[in-house]
Amino acid sequence: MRPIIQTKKQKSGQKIFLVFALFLILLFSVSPNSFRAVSSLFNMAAAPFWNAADSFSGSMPVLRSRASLSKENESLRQQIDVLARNLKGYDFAAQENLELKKLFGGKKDGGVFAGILARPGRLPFDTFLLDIGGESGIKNGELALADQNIALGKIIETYTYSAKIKAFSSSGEVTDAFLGPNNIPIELKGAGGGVYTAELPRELDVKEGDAAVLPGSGGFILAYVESKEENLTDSFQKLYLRNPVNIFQLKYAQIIPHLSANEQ
Amino acid sequence: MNSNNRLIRARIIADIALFFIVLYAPWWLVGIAVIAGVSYFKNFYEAFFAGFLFDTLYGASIAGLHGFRFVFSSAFLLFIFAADFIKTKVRI
Repeated sequence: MRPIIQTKKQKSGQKIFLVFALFLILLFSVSPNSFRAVSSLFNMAAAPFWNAADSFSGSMPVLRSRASLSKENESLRQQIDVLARNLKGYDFAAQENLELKKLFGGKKDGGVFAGILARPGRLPFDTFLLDIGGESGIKNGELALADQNIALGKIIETYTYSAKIKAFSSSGEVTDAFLGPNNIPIELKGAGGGVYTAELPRELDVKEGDAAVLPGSGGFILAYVESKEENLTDSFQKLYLRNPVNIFQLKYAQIIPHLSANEQ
Repeated sequence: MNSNNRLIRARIIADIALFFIVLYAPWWLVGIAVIAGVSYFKNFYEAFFAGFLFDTLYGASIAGLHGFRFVFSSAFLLFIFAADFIKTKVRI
């Protein structure tokens, strides 16, 4: 056994690389504008690759056998018949939904729908990558929703054709909310993976299943209380809350302007 | 000379693979690929650039780290030098 011997030239090469790498990290950490320019460039360059992967995954069934395609065709025809019957009821429900929205107001109609290119599991730190960007009119600070009324996170970076969401449940993120039927003001601390923790005085009555909602109009739900930890010697109770949607399986998000998201 | 050429070819293939892993694979697979690259090749500086690309495309400022966002770049940079230091001390 003998160690690898490094020449002087190799050592100085390593030093130059180390200085260059540290300079790069420092420069982009202290200068958000430089980072934004580079990030925008990289995102623009990567967008065709992401879109290609998206369309490739959509064209995968072409590679399947004729028998399985024929079987699927038959099953899809049956589904179309069922859906056509259901659609008659849907028109009525959609009309009613629109009327209710007009009556109660508050939420901006529709917002912008975005497909999720990458989600937590593939990406670290509870971030999402969207397939739309500034071109579709979305801006930094806007609120991202899942299933119409579940507050997911906010837009942190917008590029021309893509955007990034940071979930409120991202580790270390602190979000103000109201908890339960008595609207107890609470600070939710992100614990990652769609989970939050919070602390409240023990005297306050909190039940499992109580909802934490985002302040402001809309009543967007952040999470539900899953469990609580109480200790007789502690004057606080520790709450564990979870986002009602599985953030690891989300395919779409709705982006709307919202005051709370901008303020945080 | 022949083995040197083979090593360069392997390194180019590894670089291309690493680029596509950053674009399409989960973050932990990027970590595994970097560990493999740094272990196999000498001075695998590409690992830092892979981390930088990953941080730029998908990273976010981390509240727990005072808003620092270059987590993967820094970790890979540290790993490159730690691995090279260990390689100079031992050889299997």
